Amino acid sequence: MVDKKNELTTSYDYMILIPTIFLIVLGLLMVYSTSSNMAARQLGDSCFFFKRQALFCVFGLGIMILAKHTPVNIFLKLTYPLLIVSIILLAALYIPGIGHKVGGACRWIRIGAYSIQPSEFAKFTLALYISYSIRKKGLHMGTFAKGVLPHLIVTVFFMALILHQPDLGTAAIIASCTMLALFVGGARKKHIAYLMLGSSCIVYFLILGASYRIERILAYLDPWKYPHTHGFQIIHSFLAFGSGGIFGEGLGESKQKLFYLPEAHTDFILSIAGEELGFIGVLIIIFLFGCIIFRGFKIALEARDLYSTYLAFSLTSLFGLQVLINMAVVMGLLPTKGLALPFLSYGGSSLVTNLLIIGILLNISSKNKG
Amino acid sequence: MNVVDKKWIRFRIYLVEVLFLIGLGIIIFRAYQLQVIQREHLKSIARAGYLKTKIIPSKRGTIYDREGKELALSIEVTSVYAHPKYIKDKKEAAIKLAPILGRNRNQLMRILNKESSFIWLNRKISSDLGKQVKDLSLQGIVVVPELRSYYPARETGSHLIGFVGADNQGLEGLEKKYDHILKGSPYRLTFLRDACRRAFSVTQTLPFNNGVHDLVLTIDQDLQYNAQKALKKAVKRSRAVSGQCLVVNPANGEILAMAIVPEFDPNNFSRCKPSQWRNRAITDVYEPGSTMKAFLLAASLQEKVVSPLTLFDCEQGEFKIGNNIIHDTHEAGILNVADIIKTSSNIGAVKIGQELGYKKFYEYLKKFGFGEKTNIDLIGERNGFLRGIKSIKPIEEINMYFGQGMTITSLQLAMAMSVIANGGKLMKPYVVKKIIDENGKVEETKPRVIREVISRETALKVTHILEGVATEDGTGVQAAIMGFTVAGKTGTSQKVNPKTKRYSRRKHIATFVGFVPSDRPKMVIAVIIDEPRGIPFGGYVAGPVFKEVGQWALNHFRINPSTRFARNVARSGLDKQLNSPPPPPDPIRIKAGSLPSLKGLGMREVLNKGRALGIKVVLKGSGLAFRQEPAAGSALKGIRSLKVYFKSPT
Repeated sequence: MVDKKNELTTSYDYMILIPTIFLIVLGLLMVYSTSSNMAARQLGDSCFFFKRQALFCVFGLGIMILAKHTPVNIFLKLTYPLLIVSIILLAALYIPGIGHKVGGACRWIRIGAYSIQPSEFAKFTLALYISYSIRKKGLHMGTFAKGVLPHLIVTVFFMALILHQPDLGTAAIIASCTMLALFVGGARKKHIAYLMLGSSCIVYFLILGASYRIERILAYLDPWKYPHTHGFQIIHSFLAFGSGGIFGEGLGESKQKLFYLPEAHTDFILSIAGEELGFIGVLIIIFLFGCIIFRGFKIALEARDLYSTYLAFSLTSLFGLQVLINMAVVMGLLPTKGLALPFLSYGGSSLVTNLLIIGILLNISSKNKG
Repeated sequence: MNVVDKKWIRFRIYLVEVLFLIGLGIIIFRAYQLQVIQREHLKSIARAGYLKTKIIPSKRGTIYDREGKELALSIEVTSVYAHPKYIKDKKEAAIKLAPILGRNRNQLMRILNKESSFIWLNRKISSDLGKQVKDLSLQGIVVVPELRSYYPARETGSHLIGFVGADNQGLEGLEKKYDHILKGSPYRLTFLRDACRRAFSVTQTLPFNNGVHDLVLTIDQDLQYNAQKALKKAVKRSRAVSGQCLVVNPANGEILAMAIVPEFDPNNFSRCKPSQWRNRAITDVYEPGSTMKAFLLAASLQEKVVSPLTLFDCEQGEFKIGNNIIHDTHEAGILNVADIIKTSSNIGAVKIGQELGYKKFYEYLKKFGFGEKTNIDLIGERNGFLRGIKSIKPIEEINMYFGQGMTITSLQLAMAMSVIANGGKLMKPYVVKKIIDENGKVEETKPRVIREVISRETALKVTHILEGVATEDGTGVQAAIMGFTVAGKTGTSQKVNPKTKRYSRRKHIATFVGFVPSDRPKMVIAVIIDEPRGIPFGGYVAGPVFKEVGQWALNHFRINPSTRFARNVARSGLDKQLNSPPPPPDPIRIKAGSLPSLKGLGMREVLNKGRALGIKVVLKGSGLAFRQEPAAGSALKGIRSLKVYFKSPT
């Protein structure tokens, strides 16, 4: 089935590549705009974050090109090794001295001047595994014990590791992503419904179990009531969006980034983008992300084999869910979570992983033509 | 197998696509809601967060004396306050701050340990100290620039100028009266700041015109200082409670000096009692006593009921009217009007008054400005009190003729005497000569005649009689100034004891009010000493102050002494003079190459003249020069020495 000529092709799916390049460039600009003041004050180098993000970009683009040219069956073979590496990395966070704590959450492993976030990688490998597994189960997907349960076990295992960091956001993304994959992979609607019900209950108890989560939910429901505690960040995010208006204050003109809005260069970078570039800017960003997401689904629909379909679908879902949930969070539609916005937020692990996803989508897309 | 073959997979992917589409749609709607619908609301909250307005008080206007010397000015100082909550190490802060702020370490520690979120530590300290505090860069200790008013002349003129409170508002005196133009609107500085409270962009420029004006007073700072000095000395010598000394230019109503004792330093006004701040010259009223005889005289001469030579029987010091007996301090028989005034005979005054009638006297007192405000540009002025024609009893009428049963302010007295000095016009007194706005535009106060009270002839006659007061046999000899003729009137009034409502035997007010030189009046000086102990007579207690202040002022304003020659000239030309600004001092006529006349000069002037001419001068006697050898007009050549004879003026 695999055509040699196609495999060597250098043709790219520009419907995915161009939005990606635009978003990466925009991301670099926004990282510089949001972090320069803070970096200059705290680190003495206004370009600190910009330079690192640029480096991650170069590395990430390399990975993307590599993934684009790697035969798809290599990914099949790599599924289990990568899964094991992921688990090891996640588990390593529990080893004292390796896990790097920032703001009460242990999500990073420090390597020299850099740190990696295993959960970003874990999201990707889990999607890889689910696609592989669904393809393998085939017609058994209709049964609970053979079709749903194994995925459920792996997913819950991952979630447990990630929740312990704690990182409810990533856990929620993994859960949703698995659910979508199972749904497309042929699981019965009844089973999906049970899963949703079950996970809702788990989330409910998880929230009740931690007082800070209850406060966050209350602040989510009415942030203006808690302007100095849990509502603080989201209020400043609203103020940033509101200040931007339709056309924005202009690139670099944000006021909220001047130490008012916490995490302005990472999770809440869209708020600053909204303030500087306005509603028009936000629309363009959503449009670019939309291009990638719907092109990704199109690639899944046109894939030559089922594995490619599942892989393209679950990676696109993973990418899309990150975009949707981050945007919903910064606009106050979902409770605050520590989630990065692909390509725009500062962060190497997220950027490289997302470029890897794009690389694989480009890869599958290039096989579809021909 | 291919996904194309599995329709249900396609269907489910489509379904997921729809879900994402809905999701993105919701996001777009939410962005629209935040950025378009709620835009103004959110933006205004955001702006309130990072937009700060700082109000910087503008410097107050400067108050100058007539020579341009600064009496009140605004200087930049700093204040230090603490946010005790934000101080990390209170002990360290206290140890570092104590020496700079000049405070006790433990006391400072106690202040910093307070629960309050804002405490002033030191207000209005010098900018240098403020900078030292700032350089410590302690968290929670804030240094802010402020302004304070500074009065370089300290006590000099303080009652007039007043002072300014901690928040830059005028509290007393001219600082309060003219607060609206001295204060000016504050500068409003609008800027953006980041969450670390650092300002980064000034969005509004300062206004250049903020309505601050400077004042130039009619006061002469040096004269004011000397008046205060002389008055203080007299108050101390007579162990009196308080004193006032006013110097007024009779020609236009300018107040040249307004000295009040007890004094206070406006730089530290809070350390003095509020009673010390009072400008007694306008706020205190008292019974004037014999000084009113001058105005009785003026009224009677104007109405032509008496002439200066009209004779009255002064009853040997005891005069019975109804059940009341009026006494004189000096027994006298038949006296003419001039002598009655000169010796201040109460009996004589009553007899003159009876000729005039109370109705006319009351009218004239009103015309002289008694019983109503002078409307000087100061605050807190009082009316004084005159008993009306209808409500007065016969005995009260009698008492009024020698100044009992009415009350006045010292300023009214000085202005009434100015009427006599300037040829009959009541002037409106004022202390602000010019108001200068920030563009340098000058608004000058124009002298204002309130009314014509008496004719020039009458004024001259009164002046002539009042000149007798400051002579050897007058009551005010102590006020005589060598080389000049002084016209004036003494007053020694008893104070009413507020408890018994009767005249106190011990408490007096000693007054001397007069003008000099009487032939071309340059200044009216009123001296009032409240409750002198020992000898209470106005001439004795207040006269020397008149003399000292007058002497100093005449010298200061370079007014030449009256020679007999000059006096005659002045006399004949007085009418003209009184209308026009004061003429240049009478020149001493010196023919080139001949010896000038030294007649009427004081000793110092004679010595100065001699030195200028290069002639040795021998002085004989004391007083004013009346004879010289060789005589005036002799050729200068060959004269080696000059003998000048002096005698006291009479």
